[in-house]
Amino acid sequence: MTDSAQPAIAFSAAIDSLAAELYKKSSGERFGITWQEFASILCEVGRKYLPAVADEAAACELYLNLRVEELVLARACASGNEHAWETFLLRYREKLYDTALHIARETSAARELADSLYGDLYGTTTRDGKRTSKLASYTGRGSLEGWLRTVLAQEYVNRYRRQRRLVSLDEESDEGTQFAAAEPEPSTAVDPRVESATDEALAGLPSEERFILASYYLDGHTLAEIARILGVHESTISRKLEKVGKSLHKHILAGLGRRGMSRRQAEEALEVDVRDLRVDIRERLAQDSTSETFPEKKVAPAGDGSG
Amino acid sequence: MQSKGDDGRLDVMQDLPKIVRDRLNSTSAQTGGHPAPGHPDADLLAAFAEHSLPERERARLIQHLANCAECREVLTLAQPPLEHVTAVMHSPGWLSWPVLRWGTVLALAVVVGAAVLLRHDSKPASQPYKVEMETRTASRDHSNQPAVSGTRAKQPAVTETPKNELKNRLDSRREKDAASKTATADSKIRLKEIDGTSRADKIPARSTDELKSNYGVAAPAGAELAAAPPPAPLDKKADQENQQAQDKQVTPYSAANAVQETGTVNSAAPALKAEEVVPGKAKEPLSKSKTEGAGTAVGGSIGMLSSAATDSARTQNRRVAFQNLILPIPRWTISVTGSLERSLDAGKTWQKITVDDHAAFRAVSALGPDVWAGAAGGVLYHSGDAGEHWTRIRPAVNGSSLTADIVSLEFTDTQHGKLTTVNGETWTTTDAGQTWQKN
Repeated sequence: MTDSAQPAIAFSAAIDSLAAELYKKSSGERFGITWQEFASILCEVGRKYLPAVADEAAACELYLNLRVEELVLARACASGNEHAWETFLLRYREKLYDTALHIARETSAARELADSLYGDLYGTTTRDGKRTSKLASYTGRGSLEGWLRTVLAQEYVNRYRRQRRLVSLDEESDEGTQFAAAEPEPSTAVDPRVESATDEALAGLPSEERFILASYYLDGHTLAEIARILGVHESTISRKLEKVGKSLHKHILAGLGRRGMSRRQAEEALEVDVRDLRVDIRERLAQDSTSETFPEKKVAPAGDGSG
Repeated sequence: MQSKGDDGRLDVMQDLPKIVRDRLNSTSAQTGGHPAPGHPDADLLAAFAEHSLPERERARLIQHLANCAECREVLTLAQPPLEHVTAVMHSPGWLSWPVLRWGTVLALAVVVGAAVLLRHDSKPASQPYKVEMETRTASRDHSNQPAVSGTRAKQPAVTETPKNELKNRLDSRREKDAASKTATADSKIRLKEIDGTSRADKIPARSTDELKSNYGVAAPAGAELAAAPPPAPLDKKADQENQQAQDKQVTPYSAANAVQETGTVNSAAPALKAEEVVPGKAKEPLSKSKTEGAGTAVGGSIGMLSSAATDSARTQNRRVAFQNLILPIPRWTISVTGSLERSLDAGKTWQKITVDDHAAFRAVSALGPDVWAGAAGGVLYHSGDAGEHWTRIRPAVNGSSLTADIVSLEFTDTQHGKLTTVNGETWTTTDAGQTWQKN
């Protein structure tokens, strides 16, 4: 096939051979995706994810890990192949609504969310007179089902953000804690030495540990949720949190020592005030310009603040 | 100290100083709030959630996630509900009758073989035993080597990774069973045809593993089952040479095609290393076997073998045969993290078997290649090929499905088994999990 139908894109010999095998595996012909189209899709994926000076091995690794069957199905749907659409609906329609319900947790909102995504997937919006489907942006890095769930989640977050901008303060209180206005926290003067020592200690953390800390303390996710995302056991996250907490404490104390504080002063500065237990994550998140209206599903357990 | 709160959070974690949380948040806003060049797309997030990103991309993404609350939330929301998790390597139509019927016959044969081997393993060292030994059918027409592209995924891998060793072993046993029934090569061909792994219309994830192996690409994190890749021969020519070199290695092995011998082996055999089978010592039991195994010799092969008693190829052949023979039955266990683990070396080393990333396994039952694994939330998987492929089984009776945590599994044979759940339910099956009764 490669002899008779060389892609317009020049592959090296090894990648050409691999691409031919992947095309066979993808069953692209079943959904009307030709070899040339398949090769173009691979090139598009390569351009998106490979560095400009990627070697052949990196390209092979990328292509081999693609979900080519699902990629071909999605692209065939995007190009309007009926058989592909039938297959897609058969496989994913029910899952899509279930996922929407799982995310929105309310039937009408879930249906609205799923219907909206269906519209995007089918391509109701037109650009230059052409129907553009969101499925055309799927690149096969993860499963199509996982991609659909992620797209739904993104859509939900965007909607929530838009909705929150419109909700009045009165409505917020009616909606419950999810929309509750952040209680103003009395601003307390913090010793700049403590801030800088803390920043220094946080900067030294590996990304994964920082991710776990942020997920747990800022987002209020449970150990099980974090463990599932990272593919480890809950107890691993628990151990890591404990270890990171101790390590941070130690490094901050050391940093404060370097900044001229005595051991006792440093410990006092870091001592946990019961008022600290009432951490208004909403307000903290509001400081983040990229996630200023991002919902907080779970509020960290708080003390009563009375001391 | 680490008491768990109602919401699954550990109370001990609450004593992180407020200043740390404050700075964690505000440094996120300063440094990571705008991770260049923007948020990762849904593809990357989905691949990350499925643990299928290469390490360097995963590290980059986690760096972004550490500083981006929005993506962390999307990731959390996009996690699949536990009850919707599907088998990673589900083979459609596995339970169709023709396949099941033949599969059951094969499974029974393999179980009997396994039971025989296990019994011999447990006998005292002084008691000798007899085992049937057969070199694996590896007839390959070397002159008709398939082209590099297109067909390579279907070639049997020659590199003896644990996974391949297991497959060789299973194939060998299936073929042995067929040979003992009909003593013709045709039966072997038929058996090959019904073997799901060799069907051309099924190209499961496994073929990608072989592709990866051929192209020298490391599997992503979490793909422990992928075969260990050889040093990357990306060039076609080099690849072909590599393949030829591998073929040469198996030439003595395939020279004794379809030869069946009966060997008398001491029970110390499992501890015997292949290298210890010196020609002089190995000759005697194998010569005996030829006289004892009347009717098992096929065509002139046995004559060829006896005439070439001192031939080094034969020694090599026996060595491979012994290697196959002394491979232990796969053993199974559940790790402390709730993942399924298999050992192919009698428990010395264990490899994680990825069945379902989200299932916390609690119980496993194995009879030879027939393996059942139960997890929290009533998640039940079955493999009929020693863990190579898994199928999710969803027991249900009168509309009531199994949802409670499975705490024990017991299968007395491939058909009959029972499982118990954490809330005291007992589910039984008498037809290999096709129908269930709830007590």
